[in-house]
Amino acid sequence: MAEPRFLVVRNDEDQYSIWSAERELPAGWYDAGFAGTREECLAHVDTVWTDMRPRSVREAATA
Amino acid sequence: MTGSPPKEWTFPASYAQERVWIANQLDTGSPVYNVSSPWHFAPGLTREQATGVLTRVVARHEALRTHLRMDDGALVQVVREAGPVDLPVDDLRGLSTPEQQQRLNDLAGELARTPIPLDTPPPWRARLVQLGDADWYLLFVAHHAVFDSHSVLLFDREVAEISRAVLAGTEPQLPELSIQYADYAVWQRDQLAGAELDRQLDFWRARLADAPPVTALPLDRPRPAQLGFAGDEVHFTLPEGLLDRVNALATASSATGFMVLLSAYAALLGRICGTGDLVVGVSTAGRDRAELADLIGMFVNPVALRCDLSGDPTFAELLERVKRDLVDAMDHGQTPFQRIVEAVAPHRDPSVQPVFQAAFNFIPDSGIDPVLLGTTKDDLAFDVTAQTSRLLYRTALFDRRTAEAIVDRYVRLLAGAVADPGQRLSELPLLADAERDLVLRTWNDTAHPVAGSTVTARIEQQVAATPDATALVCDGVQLSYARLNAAANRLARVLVGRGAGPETRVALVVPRSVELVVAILAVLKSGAAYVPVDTGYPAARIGYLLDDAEPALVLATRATAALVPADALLVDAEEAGSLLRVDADASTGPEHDLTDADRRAPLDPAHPAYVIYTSGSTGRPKGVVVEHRSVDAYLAWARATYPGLAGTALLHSPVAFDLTVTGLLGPLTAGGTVRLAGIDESTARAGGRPDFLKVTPSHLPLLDGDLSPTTDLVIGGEALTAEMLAEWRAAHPDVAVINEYGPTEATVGCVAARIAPGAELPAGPVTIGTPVWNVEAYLLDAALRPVPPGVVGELYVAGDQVARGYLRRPALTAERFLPCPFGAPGRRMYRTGDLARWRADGTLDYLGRADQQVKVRGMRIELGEIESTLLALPGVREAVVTVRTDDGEPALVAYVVGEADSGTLTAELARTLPAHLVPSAIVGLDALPLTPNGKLDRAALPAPTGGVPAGAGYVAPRTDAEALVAEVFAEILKVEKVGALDDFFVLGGNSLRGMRAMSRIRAEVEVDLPMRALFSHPVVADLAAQIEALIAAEVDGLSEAEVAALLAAEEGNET
Repeated sequence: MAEPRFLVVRNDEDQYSIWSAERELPAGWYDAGFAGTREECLAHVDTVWTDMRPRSVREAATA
Repeated sequence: MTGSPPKEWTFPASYAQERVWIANQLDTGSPVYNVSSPWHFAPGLTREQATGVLTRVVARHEALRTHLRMDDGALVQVVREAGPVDLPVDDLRGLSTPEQQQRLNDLAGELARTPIPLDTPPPWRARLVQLGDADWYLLFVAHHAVFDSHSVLLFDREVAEISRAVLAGTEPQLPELSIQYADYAVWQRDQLAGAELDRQLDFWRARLADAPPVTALPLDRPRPAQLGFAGDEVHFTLPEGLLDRVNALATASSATGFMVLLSAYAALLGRICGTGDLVVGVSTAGRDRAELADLIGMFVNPVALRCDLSGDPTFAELLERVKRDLVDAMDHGQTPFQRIVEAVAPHRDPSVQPVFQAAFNFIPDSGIDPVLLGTTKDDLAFDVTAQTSRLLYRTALFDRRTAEAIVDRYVRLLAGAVADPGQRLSELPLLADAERDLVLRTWNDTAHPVAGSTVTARIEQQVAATPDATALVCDGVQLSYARLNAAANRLARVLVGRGAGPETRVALVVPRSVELVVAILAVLKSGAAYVPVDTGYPAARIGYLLDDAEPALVLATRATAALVPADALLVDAEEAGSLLRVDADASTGPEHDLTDADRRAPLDPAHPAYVIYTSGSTGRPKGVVVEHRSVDAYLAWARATYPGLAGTALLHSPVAFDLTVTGLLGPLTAGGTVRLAGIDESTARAGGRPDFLKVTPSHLPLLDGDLSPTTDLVIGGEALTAEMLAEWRAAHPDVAVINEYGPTEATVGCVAARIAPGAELPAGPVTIGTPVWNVEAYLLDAALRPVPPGVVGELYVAGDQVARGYLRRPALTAERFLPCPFGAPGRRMYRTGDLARWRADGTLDYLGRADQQVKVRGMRIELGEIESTLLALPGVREAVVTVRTDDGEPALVAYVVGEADSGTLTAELARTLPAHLVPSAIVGLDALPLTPNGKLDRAALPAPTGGVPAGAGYVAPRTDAEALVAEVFAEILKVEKVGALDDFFVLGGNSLRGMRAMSRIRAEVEVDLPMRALFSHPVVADLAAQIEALIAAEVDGLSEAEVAALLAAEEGNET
């Protein structure tokens, strides 16, 4: 059986997570443009989520 | 009346008779195997004629003249010659029609519920009820060992035809019976033997290899040590048209309606048990040969259907799998089920029905049994018909409400599946809209307005409100809010100067002291997050934490300086000493609160307040980043819930553990006093009992009269049982106990239950209650769908208390903090990894870690259940049960503190718990080992010394009873030497051999030793003790004269 597919997803606070490619994405979450196995997705999150501050905190700091 | 005794012939029992007989031995006093077949005669018969009809049917079928008997260790059927039957009559002619009906129902029920012993003829009970002068009603109940559901149809047909013929004065037209039941039994024994039986058993061994021995049904109660037949049934009717749609899907899929109904049942079980692999019991009529079609008898054979639900298939795919597997299984449907049991589950556990516990029958045309017997053979069994269907359930395991809910879910899921068979099993509707609303919204209706703030601001507000109140007592020092705040402000300015600010971290390697509290407040005031490090940790671990946290600054003391980098700030050193000295003059820096202008960046509630490291079961410790808004939300709830926080709180645990947030930041935002002292230090007791105390369950035995709080005792960190609390509550009846659940990732405590003073607390695990303010708790299955009340799910937490994530661990954060499909868009929920279930009242039961699912011999074990049972025994003060794999195989080991000896405890547990829950070793300890956080230190529990008692070498039989049992076991099992500690089933015994062994023992000691005694006491010494107890009980039942006579006889023997 093929390994289940996941998506890397992101919310408005630029917080990342992963979600089954088979399931409907909850409201307020967007496809971050990467799909793969669970492990691949998590590895991808490690490379793209370099600033873990929520977007609102980050923007307030640079304002 | 005189005359020669009736002639009898003996034949081997059929396999089906053997199976029913063995099962019946579990409780011979139960009517579970009674089959009712009532008949209302056409009017016009005399009493003699009505009786004659039954005489004739009985004469035609040997099965109705058969009883069973153990003969030389083998079960035989004894067929008696035909003769006239005698029917008692109940004359109801004087009653009105409704009265007659009522009385008839009562008589039918009474007869149906009267057990029929199999060892005495006849195997049925019958009465004639007279309703009018020539109006007769026959009540007939037969034992299932001679009468199956097809026999009911045959019986009706023959009674109808014979009475028709009697009324018409003609000969009845009945089919010629070419063979009798006993012929079939002989033929079957011949056919299904040797190589053919082996071939069939090989099929079943392969088919059932590694199948789960127990289907993890969501039980309302733990399994009792002994399964009885006590049951009840829920009746229901499939909605109009549903069966037609089932049949339409069947036709379109080249399947049968039965397969569709069965697939839906498997899908339901998979969802409510959370498994993709289960075994369902179905049955075959066993009458595929033409000569059996007209024979009354017992032909039914259970068939175990292994259902593969893996990979979340669509319902249509599942139907294909069920079709394929059912055809395969039915091809081997004649393999005697008892033989399959012996082949795949020889170690019979009397608390669990072997091979399958959930059964399914589709009997579209015949109705269900008209009489409620109050019994069941299976844990759950559906009988679906075109009219009234029913779910039979075991009342020892399920409440009626649960059984009703299972019926509702079955019908809903079935309707959803046939409406759209392309849906995956995880998508099939299980919950009613109202139930979904209940678990997602009603039970999570926690909204409570809290003005988002920083913890810093809250504390400073409290300082302004109560400047002179005592904030901190430690090592004989008392600090007012004003003085504590001033010291913290001075230190905060130093920290800011050294780089601390929002989104940075300051590590605290500071022992419990005034300085520690000042330092925590100072870090919060600087806007940085504090990272508490337990100074008791090994240097290597401290090094790891300081490295991983990447702190802007490390604070230490002279005592801990060696553990930290050289550039750390020593808060008790000369240079910093003035910071803390409360009589400092103005030259040491301003004492007023810092503003955003003083900080490196403005402080926001979304900034982290602390980073607390937790070590999971796997991997390196990880820092949980908790924001001010979350801590503030928790503290707001805690202040409202724990009035004791406004008094004195004893803070005794290391601050590296988030449990302490309540006792530290709680009082400081409520105007209370923090008393800082180790639980074993005398200063912990100075100043009288605290108002508030938070502990882990492991601390409970340490709480004496001086330490016990007067207002709130909060318990967190580990699972709690009523037994652990009983003693303390009895001694402190006026104090509330709060069971607080919460992973660090959801900020201290996110679900809690308040046990009011004096409130009754049922035995067993204590509920963790309901989610706190602005927190939602979701119990979800693997597909992240809400599970129904009563069903085990994984606990997810959403809302204000969800942490930001793991420090510098994006992948781990993404894995544990998931998009939340419920509530406001874009939020996250934390996957706790804990299992829980909703109780019917909307409170949660905590059931342990999902990744530490304890399984022994394939059965899911709830360790808390065993611990509760141990704690309820005299001489046990503390108890912990773990699974150890010291010898490779997982084994349950119990650790107890108390006077009780392990032999007695093992015997007591064996009496009350199912066999698989009895630990293989019980180790006595002086005290349970604890971690610095006060939690049980599982790694420090010693391996049990010495072998497992049951496997511990040869012990010669010590009593006459032991010698007898050992001798019988040795003979039956063909084993040379059997000792007092040997187990019948471990030596190779099975039910059939057990039957022989028990019949031998019964013959020797002449006591009525039930078959089930062997299942519950398979060890020689235990069974011998049972026999001695029975003999003693019989002696007690004798009159004095009888005892005297017995003794005289004994004496006579001796002389």
